[in-house]
Amino acid sequence: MIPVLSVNKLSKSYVQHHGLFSKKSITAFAPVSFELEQGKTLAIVGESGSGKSSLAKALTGVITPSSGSICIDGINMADKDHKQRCCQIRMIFQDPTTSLNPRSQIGRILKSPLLLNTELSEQEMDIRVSDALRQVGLLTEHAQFYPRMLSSGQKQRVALARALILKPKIIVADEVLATLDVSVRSQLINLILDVQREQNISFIMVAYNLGIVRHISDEIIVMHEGHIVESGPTAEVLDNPQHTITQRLLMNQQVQFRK
Amino acid sequence: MANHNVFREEHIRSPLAHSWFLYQQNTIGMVALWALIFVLILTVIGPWIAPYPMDHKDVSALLKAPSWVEHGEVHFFLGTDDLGRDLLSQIIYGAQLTFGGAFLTVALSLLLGSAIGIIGGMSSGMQASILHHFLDTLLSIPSLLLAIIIISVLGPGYFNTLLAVFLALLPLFTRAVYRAVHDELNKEYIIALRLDGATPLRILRYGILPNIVETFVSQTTRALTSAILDITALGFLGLGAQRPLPEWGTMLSDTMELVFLAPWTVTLPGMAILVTILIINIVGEGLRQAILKGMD
Repeated sequence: MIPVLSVNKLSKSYVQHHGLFSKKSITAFAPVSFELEQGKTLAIVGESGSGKSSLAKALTGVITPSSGSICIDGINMADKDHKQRCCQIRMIFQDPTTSLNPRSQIGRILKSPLLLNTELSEQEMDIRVSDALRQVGLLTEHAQFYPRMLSSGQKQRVALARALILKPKIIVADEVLATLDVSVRSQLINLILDVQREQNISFIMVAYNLGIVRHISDEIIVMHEGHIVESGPTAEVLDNPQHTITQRLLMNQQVQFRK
Repeated sequence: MANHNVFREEHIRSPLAHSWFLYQQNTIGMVALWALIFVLILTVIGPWIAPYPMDHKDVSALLKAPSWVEHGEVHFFLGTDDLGRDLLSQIIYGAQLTFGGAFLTVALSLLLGSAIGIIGGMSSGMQASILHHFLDTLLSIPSLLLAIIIISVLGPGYFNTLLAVFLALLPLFTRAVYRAVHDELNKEYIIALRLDGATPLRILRYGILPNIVETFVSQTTRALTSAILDITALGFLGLGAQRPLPEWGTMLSDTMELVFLAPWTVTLPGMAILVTILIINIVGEGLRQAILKGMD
């Protein structure tokens, strides 16, 4: 199968100034390469500070990578602007309370990517918005609501709808489940799996909870200090971890389960 | 006719409409708002309703007490000063000079200052850094002192006062708006909007401006108070409006020596300044709190 996304030697480093002349280069993540097939889910795990969030941000264009290429269907996206990129790859942020504009109606939040990237008429856009809302388990009436009227689980559904509305090939989710409580979390996981099955979308999940990762992902990347230390099919990696970092992550979370 | 509205319709208010709803629950705030509207109307139509022309002097009625005091006359409702000028008319004309002048200055510096602030806030790197440090220097000087420096260059006079106050207020607005825009730019919903491919102008219109209304309101009321205080203070020091003009601060300084003989000539302009500043602050603080509460 041809991969929908192939990342080649992508890296990001910051330059930090100390005083007037001395500079220090800080690496967010070293050159990384991986591929993702259509309809599959890739999980990126690692400790905090391992560069997994930076990698997710570089993929969607929030930060510009220092080097390397991001190819979607063979087209390099790294040098494209947001407009060309957002129809292919979309991002869901960690905290739904800050990722939705508190002064915009849900309908307008969802309509804004359509307005900027498609040539649809007003009615067609309304239909697309209400379709997207129903797809994530909300009602058409929610388009009139403001974000403060929704619970955080509902807000995260709106964020998912915003990612879905342009019918992208890949959705990058940066720890979307971290701020939700357990019951809402499992609802959202099921929703994501349903959407993925229906539309054949590839997901990249930045996650911490290995139980969820095992449940939803096909491939896994373990990162440590900006490097990929282990990668492969999720079941294999988690059942038989080779690298000490992976073993440590697993051990850490098993201790949590036992308590 | 039957009442159709049997079931209560659920109304969805926009955050700003909700803030206005919350403000209406604040009784003191509403009283102050009506008082402010009254002062505003007085400022606009003052010349038509003032009982006497601005330079009218009645030599037969010097230092008349207010009408409710024993020797007062109802023709001079708030009494007269040492040249026989009707205090009520003087205060009404003064509203135009003090409150109206402050209002205009604040409106102009709001427009220009926020424009600079927005441009600075949306830009980054060298441009923003220069603006930032330049404003820090300007803001370290108190606004009244800055106004006095400008007056000492331009010479005293009412128009120069307004110019000085305008220039002193400008960095205040620019700085506040710059900070607000800058803070707002780093929020996730702005990043989300940028990822949608929105132009900076669209980000500004839909993402940033609706979310910094609170800054505009609090900054405007603060500036209005400080403009009134500066204009009256400069008038009182003899650097602002000169006496034929019934600017409230000038009126105060003009009648200071009469304070034991005719206390109303000092008290009433002072009360006018006090009440105006009080209602502006009550309205401003009420609006600010309502907007903040309306957010969540």
